Amino acid sequence: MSAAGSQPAGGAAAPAPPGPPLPYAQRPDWADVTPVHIPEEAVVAIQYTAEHSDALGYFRAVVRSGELSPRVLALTADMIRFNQADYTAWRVRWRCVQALGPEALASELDFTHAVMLENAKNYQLWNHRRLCALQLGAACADREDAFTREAIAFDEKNYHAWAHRQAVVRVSGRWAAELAFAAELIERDVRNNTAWNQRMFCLQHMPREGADDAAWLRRELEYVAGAIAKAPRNEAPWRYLTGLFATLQPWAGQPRALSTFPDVHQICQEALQECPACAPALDVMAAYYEGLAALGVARAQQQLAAAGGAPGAGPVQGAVAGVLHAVAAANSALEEAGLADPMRAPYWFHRMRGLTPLQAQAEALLA
Amino acid sequence: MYLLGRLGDMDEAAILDWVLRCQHPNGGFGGSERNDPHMLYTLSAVQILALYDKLELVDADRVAAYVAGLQQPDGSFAGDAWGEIDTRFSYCALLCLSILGRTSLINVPKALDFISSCKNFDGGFGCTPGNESHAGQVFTCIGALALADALHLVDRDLFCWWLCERQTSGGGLNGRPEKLQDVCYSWWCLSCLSILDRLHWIDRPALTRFILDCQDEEDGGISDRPDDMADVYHTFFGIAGLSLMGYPGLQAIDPAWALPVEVVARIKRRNAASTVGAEAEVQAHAVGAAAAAES
Ligand SMILES: [Zn+2]
Repeated sequence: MSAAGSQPAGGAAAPAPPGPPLPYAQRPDWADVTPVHIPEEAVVAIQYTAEHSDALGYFRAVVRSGELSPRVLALTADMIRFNQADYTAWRVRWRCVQALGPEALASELDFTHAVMLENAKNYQLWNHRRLCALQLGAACADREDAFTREAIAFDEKNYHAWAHRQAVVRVSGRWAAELAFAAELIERDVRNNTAWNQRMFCLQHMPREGADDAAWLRRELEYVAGAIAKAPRNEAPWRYLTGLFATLQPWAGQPRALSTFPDVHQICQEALQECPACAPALDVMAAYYEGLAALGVARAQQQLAAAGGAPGAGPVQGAVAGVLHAVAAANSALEEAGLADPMRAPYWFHRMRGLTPLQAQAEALLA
Repeated sequence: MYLLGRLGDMDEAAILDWVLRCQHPNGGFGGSERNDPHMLYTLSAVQILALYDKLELVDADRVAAYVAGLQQPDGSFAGDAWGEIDTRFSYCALLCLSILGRTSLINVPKALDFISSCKNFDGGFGCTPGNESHAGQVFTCIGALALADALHLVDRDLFCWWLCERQTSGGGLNGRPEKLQDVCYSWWCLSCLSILDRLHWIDRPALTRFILDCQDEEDGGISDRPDDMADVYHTFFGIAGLSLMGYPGLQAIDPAWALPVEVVARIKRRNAASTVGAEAEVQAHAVGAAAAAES
């Protein structure tokens, strides 16, 4: 501790001590170190301030000597203050923290907090913080919650902060709290896609309440419907809705599971009543009918086989008629989407082309 | 500068000399002479050497060994010996080794497994498993899959729909839903659409207008949004985006290699020539070399 003067080991980054600090070249506790200075670069003329270049000389020297000590820890704090993206300084800092033991680890939380207040989007900062938090283990959960909340309050889509929360919850296992946090942020801003992603992340990992999966999913769909009602054109809940079926078991393993829940159709219909040219609602509506058509083709093929291959059989005809109706409904949703969102017309055409094989398969069953 | 046909305007000897001075004995390159080696700067160094057709200035085996050494047991790559895990580094590793013709040094199937595990419900990709899809990140994942000839792992329609939804009413693209448009996404998103043959899914004239609006009429650079300060990154992303859309007067850029098409062709010829005569069974495992042999 003495090497860093009156400063605590980790706290030297910010705020700056009162009055200009002594240059390293004049500090008695650094007198035993010979700074290493490299002649000016020709190609990349990096303009270091006098202060930075003074510290850099000593930093190069300790990197060479491999010293890991409280004074080196304080020196890295200065180096990071001069340039937060100096990944070599961060690396030396982490090695010091590991060498100095648990006390240094705890004071890193204050240090990284001070850096975060200056720039909450620095990769090195979040990597360092994660190394510290994970070394502290599940006990870190409360502090990391407060830390990331602070960053997220400032920027609700701060990628690093949300990723940090994911890393922490994997260790702490507090899935219900994380789900509640995501809900809180979705409540604050229903368009926050990052919060929706966090909700999905939680659902993928936490055990489900109750034994009835379908009832659970219907409750989740109600939640989505509520969010869509607030802002029907908001991309986030629509992607989340289709994502539920594509990601979560058992639905991800079933063919066209989305089309087996009429709730989906109802959500689309309600959104379209509110907002007739709602492209994402038309997109999901089309997917719903396309799925119905595909399921119908499979059913008709089974019925044909059961009827001994006689194409005129009543049940086959009925199933085929159902398929053709679903294809037509999907087509008209896509046509409307093309009008509502002409910028992405090629996408809507592509989706329509995808319906042609279903129609052809259905018609072939009647021949 | 290559895309603009003006590579000769810079001092080649000084640049190459400086790049080589940033190399460490372990083969990796640092951001400057005093910095430790890092994946990002190692790739940049190799790309610069490739642009100048001077790959012979480094010991490819040593550089490749450094990169391969950063692969983790789960197939992912770290940025450096202490650094974070990120799909960005998977791309850096695959591209670096593809340029050097040394992809056989890593476990490619495991690298692909890790990238797949970062795939999200919207078809996009994040930094590590579970992280939100982000346009910058999806470029690195699609680029890596393309280099490894593994695009079958992409949910093409779902993902390209996500990509073309990134175009805002202003013509520019954003990186995530409800974020601001920014010139850099012209590269991140467009390169993916180009790799996946869906470039026509976005409104190209509108995007071209947006990029040109971000040009600084006096100093010539390109900024992230109209009327912001131009910088070297957004200038590259803007030019590269225009190049992908076939803007007149620009050299074509390869969307997966992020290098001029001419340079990529030269690299592939070079690697094909150097692997002729090498053991055929090694070649069979090297996805990059196999791709080179096809062309
Ligand atoms: Zn940008």
